[in-house]
Amino acid sequence: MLEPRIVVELRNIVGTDGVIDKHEQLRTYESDGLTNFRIVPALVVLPTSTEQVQAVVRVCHREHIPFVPRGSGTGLSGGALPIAGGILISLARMRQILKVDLPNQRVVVQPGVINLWITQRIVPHGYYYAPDPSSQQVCSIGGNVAENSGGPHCLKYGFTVNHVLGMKFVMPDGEVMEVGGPTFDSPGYDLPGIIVGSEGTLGIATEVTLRILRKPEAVQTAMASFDTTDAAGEAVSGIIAAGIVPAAVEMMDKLAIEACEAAVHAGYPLDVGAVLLVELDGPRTEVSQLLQRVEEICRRAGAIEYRLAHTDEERTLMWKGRKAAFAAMGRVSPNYIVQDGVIPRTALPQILREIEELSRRAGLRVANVFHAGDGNLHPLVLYDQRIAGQEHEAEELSGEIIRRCVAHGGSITGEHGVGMEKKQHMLAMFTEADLATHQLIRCAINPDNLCNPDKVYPTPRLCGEVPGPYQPHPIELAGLAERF
Amino acid sequence: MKVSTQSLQETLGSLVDGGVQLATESDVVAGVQPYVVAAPGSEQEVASVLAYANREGLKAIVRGGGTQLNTGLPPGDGDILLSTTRLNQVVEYAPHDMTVTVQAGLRLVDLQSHLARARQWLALDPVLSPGATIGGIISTNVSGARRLRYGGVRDQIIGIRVVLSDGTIAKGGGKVVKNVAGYDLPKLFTGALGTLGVIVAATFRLYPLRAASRTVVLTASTPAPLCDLAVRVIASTLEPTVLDVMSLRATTRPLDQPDSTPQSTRASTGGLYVMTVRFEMEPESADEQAAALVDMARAEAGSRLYRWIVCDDGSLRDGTGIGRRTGRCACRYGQGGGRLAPLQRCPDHARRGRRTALAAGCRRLYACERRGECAYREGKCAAD
Repeated sequence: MLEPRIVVELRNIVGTDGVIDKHEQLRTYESDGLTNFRIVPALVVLPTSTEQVQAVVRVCHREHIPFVPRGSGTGLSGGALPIAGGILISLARMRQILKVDLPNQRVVVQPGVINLWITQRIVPHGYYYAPDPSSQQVCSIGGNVAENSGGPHCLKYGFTVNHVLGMKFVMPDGEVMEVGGPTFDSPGYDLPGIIVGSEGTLGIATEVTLRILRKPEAVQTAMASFDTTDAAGEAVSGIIAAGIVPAAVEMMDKLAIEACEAAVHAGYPLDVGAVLLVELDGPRTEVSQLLQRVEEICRRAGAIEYRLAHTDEERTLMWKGRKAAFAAMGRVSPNYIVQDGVIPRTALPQILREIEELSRRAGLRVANVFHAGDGNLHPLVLYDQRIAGQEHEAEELSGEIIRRCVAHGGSITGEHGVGMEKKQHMLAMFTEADLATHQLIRCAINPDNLCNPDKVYPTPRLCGEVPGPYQPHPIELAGLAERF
Repeated sequence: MKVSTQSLQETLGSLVDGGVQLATESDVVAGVQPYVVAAPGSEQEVASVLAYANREGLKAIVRGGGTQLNTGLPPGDGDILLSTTRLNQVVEYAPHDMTVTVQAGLRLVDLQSHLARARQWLALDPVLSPGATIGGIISTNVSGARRLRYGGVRDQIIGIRVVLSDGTIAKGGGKVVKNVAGYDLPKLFTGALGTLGVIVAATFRLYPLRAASRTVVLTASTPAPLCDLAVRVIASTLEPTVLDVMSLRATTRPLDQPDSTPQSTRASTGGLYVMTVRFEMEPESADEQAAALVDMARAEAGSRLYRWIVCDDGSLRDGTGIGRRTGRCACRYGQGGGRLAPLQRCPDHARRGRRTALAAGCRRLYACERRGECAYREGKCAAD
């Protein structure tokens, strides 16, 4: 419990309606999109300005209270999981688009602004914001910055980090810093580069300057279906080998297709092994030429059906199925675990066979949805919580998939983040020396480890603690304490 | 220095197999004369050298190709010059995954010709002499004209291996394009000028070489019509990979040489300011976009422009022209030896106090010559 004087002080900063302290209301914030971790915070505060965020963080720093920033709470790795006894700082009331600067192709937004709002605001002028995570209708820019969110179109246009030019940033001690700037290549260390994707462990962005892009002259989406994921994978390899950089290439396997069809009726064929969505954009002539080549490649790889979206409505529908994929799993299974692993794209056929084998051995179904162009897999492990032990088996299976991804030279997460969920997998990718080096960054910026502690890294050392063989504490040496 | 030069050379010689020699005058870095040059042949040797230097309180300066030693503040001191030139291998090239891992001392030109065989390239085209290494390019964060389309070093780098000053070998990022595990060390080391540690290897995402390239060169006597046009192009659906505006003075001589352009050269090229716009895509689209640009130029800036020319620039096709940008085009365009070269980033020039006319290396950052100073502001050019 927080001392009443601290609650009073925070109320004075953010106003009475900006503080939540009733247990049943606090429970709203007990988890993010990863619901198997739940912790009720001691208090939630909802600041409305950089100054308020700064003042709240200063109180936390002075009183040594851990705090966790939160956007829309859609994260899938527990990055916004509260700390017991700590304060949750929700940025949900900071949702203004502060500046739209079309000639210079950038916008300045507050962290609570929803991803899709930016495109909605500028699309009438022919511009859009490129990163498009599937949750873009509800996820916030602050959360995107924390997680370095991607989406299908990051294959061609890059992730959140490639679109953030600068930030106003509240450091864990309450100092406000401007990092980056209004244009590319601000002098000095690339602080936006290190902050984006740090999962809220280095501070709180309160204003973000983002690049926006001119809408291309033409956008075309095609859907191809195949007997097997191998055949679909061969088509993807062919497209890449032809020197084509599609705006997006998405693949779904049979189970995923069935679930999506049941949920949104996107018009995917049901009796096939895999569906590919390929989107090309750019100059009209080039798009239509390259699309012909894509069709040839797909047909050569054994496409059963190849269909072009002729209208915007058809295109939207094709995408609707893909974007609803996670939620659609509810149609075919009572429970499911969303996994997020990466492999070098060429290892796709191998990893899919391995997943199939693991799935068969565990007796659990796995649906596969993935960004095939960049090797980012989202295997969905289906299970039934009511069956004793099955949840645990599903977790085991999901974890084994991640270890296989690393074994193929990939990553434990492509876009969902490490958060709480994958801390233990970090050692599969990094050595102790690597992790100790990463900790130097945290210690430089968040030395007291108050800002989103216990996330991303397994059991971080205290800052300044020297790694090495165990050394007894002075009080141990003096015989006053004993280690056991 | 606590140890003698001789014993330093001996000790380093025992740590670095066959890559240690006494420094000469040519090893001076911004006025600092190191004693010994050590060129390790592996990351373990780099780690040994740095761990030793750290223990002995010796200072090390890192050098790649030595093409940009004037960038950043000069080092305060330096005992050991650590050269990365022997770390020059392609570690792993996965053309079908479009990624490559290289050692830091590999020269960019060598990497590009390696990749060009599979019709791919690392999307960086800094205007540097051929000695420039990957490690140096990361550390100085240089990119070239094509940043407009592809972004800078930070947008290409996906993994890094570094040795810290105490000899710790650490990595960040990975080998796959999409990866959010852990802090983004590759970006932190980009542009850090070697102040955080020694980069020993890096992994990059790659792009395919495009089928065709068309370059439109427009000239005018003042920057205004070109800058106006640049604003229009950016707001249009044209997709140039390069959009540079520069003064002819910048185009006809290397920037570090005195202005010796004969007046006749300026006159015969028809104007004092040049804009180059390059389209790299399928041939038909490149032709269409180049033609659309010329139409736009006629309509928008017609009488204020002197002339324009469209070049069929094949320099990318053979993979050797990367980094030279519009070189071939300029030769065709005009004056025998005139080369359309170092358009560098304005902030660099401003910092160095150079007299540079006009740069549009950043998407929306134009610089204009004013009273001999490089004054720059965003959005549009100051009046001539």
